[in-house]
Amino acid sequence: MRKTETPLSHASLAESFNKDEQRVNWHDQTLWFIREKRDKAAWQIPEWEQLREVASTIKSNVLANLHEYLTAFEKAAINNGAVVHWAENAEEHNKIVLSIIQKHKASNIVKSKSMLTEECHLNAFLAKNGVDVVDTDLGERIVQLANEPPSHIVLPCIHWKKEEIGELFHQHLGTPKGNADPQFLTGAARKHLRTKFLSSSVAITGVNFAVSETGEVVVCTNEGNADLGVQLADVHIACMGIEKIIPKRRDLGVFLRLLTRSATGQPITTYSSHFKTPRKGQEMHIVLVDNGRSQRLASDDFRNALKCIRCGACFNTCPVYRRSGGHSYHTAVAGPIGSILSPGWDIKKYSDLPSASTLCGSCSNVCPVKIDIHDQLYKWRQEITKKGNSPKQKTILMNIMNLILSHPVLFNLAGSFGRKVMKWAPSVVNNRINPWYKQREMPEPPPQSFTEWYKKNNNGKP
Amino acid sequence: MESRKNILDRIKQNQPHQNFVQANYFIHPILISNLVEKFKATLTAIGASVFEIATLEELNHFTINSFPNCDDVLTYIPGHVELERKSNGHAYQNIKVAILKGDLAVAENGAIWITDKNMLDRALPFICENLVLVVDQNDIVQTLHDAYSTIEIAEYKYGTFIAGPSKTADIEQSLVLGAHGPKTLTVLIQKSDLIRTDHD
Repeated sequence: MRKTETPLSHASLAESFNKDEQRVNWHDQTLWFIREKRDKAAWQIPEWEQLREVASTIKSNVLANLHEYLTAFEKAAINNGAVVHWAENAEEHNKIVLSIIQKHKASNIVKSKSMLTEECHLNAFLAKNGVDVVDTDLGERIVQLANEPPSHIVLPCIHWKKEEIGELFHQHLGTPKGNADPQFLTGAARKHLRTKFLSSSVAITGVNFAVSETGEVVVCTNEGNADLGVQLADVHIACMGIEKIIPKRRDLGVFLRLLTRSATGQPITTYSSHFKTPRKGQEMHIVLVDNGRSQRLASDDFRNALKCIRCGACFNTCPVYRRSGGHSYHTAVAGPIGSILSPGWDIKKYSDLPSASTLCGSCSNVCPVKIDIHDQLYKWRQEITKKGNSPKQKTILMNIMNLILSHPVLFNLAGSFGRKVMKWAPSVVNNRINPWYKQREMPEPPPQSFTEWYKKNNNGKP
Repeated sequence: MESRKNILDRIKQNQPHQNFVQANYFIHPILISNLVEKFKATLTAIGASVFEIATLEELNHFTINSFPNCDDVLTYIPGHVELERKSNGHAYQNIKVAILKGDLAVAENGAIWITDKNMLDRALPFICENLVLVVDQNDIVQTLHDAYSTIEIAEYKYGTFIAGPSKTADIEQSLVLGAHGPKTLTVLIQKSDLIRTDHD
């Protein structure tokens, strides 16, 4: 399906997603429904805007003092009995996780949702090294069985229809063919995954928040899969980006009030678990991952993206995401926030993403930590052009535009030529080569330019 | 160790030097007038059942009525019903009903705070099929901020907020109760203290 030799672009992947119009409409409406639930939840909190402001301020303070907060966190975590690891990049993170698994001679492990491990492509790495890792979040398990990455950071299989999930479970879990009842399918997954929980000696989790003052990590789930995994395993590995730090326990009051209301419109996730000290006899490892974050910290323009708490509100509100689907972003974190994070990892590969936006600003308006997402999208476009990563065709056209717009004689000539062409030979512009003609009618050409009209009506006086 | 040094050195060099002071905030939520009613309404909305009991002795009646003919019921309320902990969490996989005591409850979101001391085994609140949490009426607070003013000075090794039965809506946004953890959550609000003050 996807050609590997040509670079993936959001525009072409979105185009193939848009071939099935009904499905796109369904996808669009489902996500808008979640956005509306978020609104209802937020509107019930009169101090909502104050919460967003405070959350953003707490994160500014964290980023300005990250060195101090991280070292304090490390000290407290070690004191609690955890082992703390540091990874410069995805590769080192994966090696650390594998070495812990190998030390315990484990070959079947369970993992709850962690966007960081998606960013690091941990599953593929572990599989290559003979470790069977099972994603235990239902949505993640579904995309894992289908051999796909998640298409949304909170709702991994939002692009799947229940009939397709029924068929997938029929093939992999032996459920009766044709049964697509969500209650039944969830029950089947529960049974299937319960055996995995009971037989895994190592459990990996992500981290929503890490409290510097106490060295504890907080993990939020609705399904209870993180807790069930960790509490039945001999070893807990918590993987986190270094930006997940918050100063104090009391700050959780702010972030937990914002997180789930922004994500799904629930007042809080079913479980918000605070892992401080491992059980007697249990090992707890915390892997702190940089992977480009410390570089981003230096940039006044792009630093604030590190405030993200991965709620997904910007996905659900984005008119482009809703109509193009998560996979068109060809990166672990899709949507508006992914479009400002990904170029920081690889500006060449993700040079298309900042353009996958209308710059309407809705993402910034719903962001619970007030990241200036749409401003950063715009700034990335400039950065990408400056570094020579914009598409060739666009660069050539921009240079021609620059030439014409900066020479009045050329401008007038081009205008008059354009009006004539559009009037007498519309097929020159009304064709598939012209990207503006896609899904649009070209406008009627005006009989004269504004300059001509002005000269005529003002007797040539300036 | 080299990575640790590299990362921390880079952070020290790159972190902004503007003086972003630690947020010293005080959030003023609208006060909830009837905490118990708000707590009950929130719990019902997130798929839990709520009952009020006058004393812990009523627990037995409740269990017999709500889970008739059920043998695998386990009650652990420190100071009231004590139990020996089994060797590991796996030993609790067939428990149908676990009755535990919550430390604190939050009216705005229906979350109940419970720490390892009250769990018997850390796996129990997650591996049992039906969870019952007993909450003292006086332990219900307004918002999470109020909860953390207690939690921030509390000693625990592991603690969790539980808000409702385990759930998922991953299949076409259809809400299903009972994902991996308990299929039901029942909250018993204990009013014994109130009754005592009534008699005073």
